[in-house]
Amino acid sequence: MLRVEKLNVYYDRLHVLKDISFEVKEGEIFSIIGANGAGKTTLLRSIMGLKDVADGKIIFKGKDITRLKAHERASLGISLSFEGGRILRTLTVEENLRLGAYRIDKDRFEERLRFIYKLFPRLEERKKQIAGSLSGGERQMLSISRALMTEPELLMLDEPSFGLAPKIVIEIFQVLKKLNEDTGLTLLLVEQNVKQALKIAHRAMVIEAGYEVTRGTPDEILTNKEVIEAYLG
Amino acid sequence: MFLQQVINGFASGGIYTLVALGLTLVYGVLKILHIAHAGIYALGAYLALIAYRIYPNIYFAFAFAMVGTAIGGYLVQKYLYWPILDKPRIVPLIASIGLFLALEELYRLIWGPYVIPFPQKFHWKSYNLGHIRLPGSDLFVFALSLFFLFILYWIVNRTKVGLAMRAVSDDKEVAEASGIDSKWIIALSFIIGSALAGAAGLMVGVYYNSIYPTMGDVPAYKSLAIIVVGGMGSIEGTVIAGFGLGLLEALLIGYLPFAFPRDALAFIAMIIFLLIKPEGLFSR
Repeated sequence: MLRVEKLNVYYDRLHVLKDISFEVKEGEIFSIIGANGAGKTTLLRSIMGLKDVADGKIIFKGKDITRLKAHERASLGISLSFEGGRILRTLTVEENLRLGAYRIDKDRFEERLRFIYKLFPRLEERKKQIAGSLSGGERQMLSISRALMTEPELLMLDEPSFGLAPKIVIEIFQVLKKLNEDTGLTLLLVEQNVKQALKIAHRAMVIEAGYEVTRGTPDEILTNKEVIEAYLG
Repeated sequence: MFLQQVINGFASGGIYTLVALGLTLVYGVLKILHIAHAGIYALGAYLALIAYRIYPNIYFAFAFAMVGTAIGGYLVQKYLYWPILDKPRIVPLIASIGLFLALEELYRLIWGPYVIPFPQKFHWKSYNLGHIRLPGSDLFVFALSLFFLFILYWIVNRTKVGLAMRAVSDDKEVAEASGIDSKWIIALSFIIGSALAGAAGLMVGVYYNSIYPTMGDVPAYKSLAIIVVGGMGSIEGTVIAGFGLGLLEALLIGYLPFAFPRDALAFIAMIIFLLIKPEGLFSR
C-alpha cells in the first residue's frame, strides 16, 4: 500500500532522515520505534506532505506521491493523527470532525460520525464543547477521530500514547487494534512506548538518529539484544 | 444629542470594523500584518469614482469597487506575500509598508494629489425620532456595515468554506492534512477582506464626500490599534473593538469640555491594552 524508497530529509543543514526505506502492506499494522529525535515525526510529516523531501520516493497505491501537496494526499486516502493530540483547539469537537470530513458528502459524513461516536462515546457527550477544553485523553481520541473522518486507507499515528495515563493508553490501543481487525484499516504507528507499539504491530522497524537500526516481527525485535538494551532497559 | 452621537459613532465604528476585519482575516491565516490593506481601502474609493463615471448607480459602484479590490487583494497575496512567506516575519511587514506607500504614490500619479468630491451628491433624508434628528448618511453607513458584517458572519460560521478558514487560521497543517487546500483558503481570506475594505472605501468617499491619495493613512493606523485591542486574529474582538472605538470617539468629542484629538484615542486604547492586557479582548 505504501512504499518509501531511500528517503532523505533535511531541516536546514540537519540531515534528519537517512536513506529510510520500508513498505507497509494493505491491512497491516506497521510500527516505527525510536527515541526522541530519531526522526519519527519527520518521517510521518514527509509521508503526509507537510515536509519537503530532498531525495527518495514515496509511492502510495502504486502512485508516486512524492511531490503532491498534503491536501491532495489526504484525498488519496492518507491521514495523520498529529503528535500530542494536536487538534483545532478553537473549534468544537463536532467541527473538528466535520473538518476531517471536508472532502466527503453529507450522507457519508453522518454515517462516519455515528461510526466515530460508537468508537469513542465520550466524544459524542462532548460534541458541542470547544476542543481546547478537552482532557489529554479526549484530545487524543479526537485527534484520531479527526484523522479517521477523511475515510483513510492508511492511517498514520504519531505517538498516540504520549503523555496519557496507562488506562487511557490501553483503551486507545484497543480501539486501534479493533479498527484494524474489523475494517482492515492499514496503520502506520510511530511510538516511543515500545511495549504497546509492539503488542499490536504485525511488523516493526527501529530507527535511531535518522538511520534504520533493525526491522522484523515484534518477536524478532524483542529478541534483538541491541534493541532491548536501548529501549527496554 | 446623545442618540445622535451614538448613531454617528456606530457609523464610523462600522467603517473601522470593515477595514480592520481584513487585517484580522489575513493575520488569522498568514500571521502577518497586512498594512497595505489600507491602500486597498483607498483603491475602493477610487474605483467607485471610476464606476460612477462609467455608469452612475450606487449598486454598480459597490460591485465595481468590491470586485476590483478583491482582485487587488488577491494579486497582493500572490505576488507580494507568497514569495516571501518563509522569510522572517519582519520581511513581509516591511514589504507591506512599502507597498502601502507605493500604492499611495500610484494614486497620486493617476488621480493627482487633490481631494476629489464624490461625483454624485446624495440628498440624505433625516429621520426624526421625537425631537431627535438622525442623519440619513449615518444610518446608511451603519446599516450597510451591519449588512456586510452579517454576510461575513454567515460565511465564517455557517459555510464549509468558513469552517476551512477558521481551521487554517487555527492550525494550517492540521487543516491541510484534513484535505483543505490552504493556499486557496488564504487567497480567499484576502479576497473577502479586500472586498470589505473596498466597500468601506466607497462608503467613506460618499460619507465625507472626499477621495484623496492618503485617505488610507488614518484607517491604517487605527485598524492596527483595533486588532491589537480586539486580540490578533479574533473576528469577534475586531467587531467589538471597531464599534467601541467609533462610539468612544463620538461620545468623547460630543461631551468632553475641551477639544480632544479624535484620532489619538485609538492609540491611547492600544497603549493601555498593551500595558495591561497585551493579548487583547479575545485572545486565541
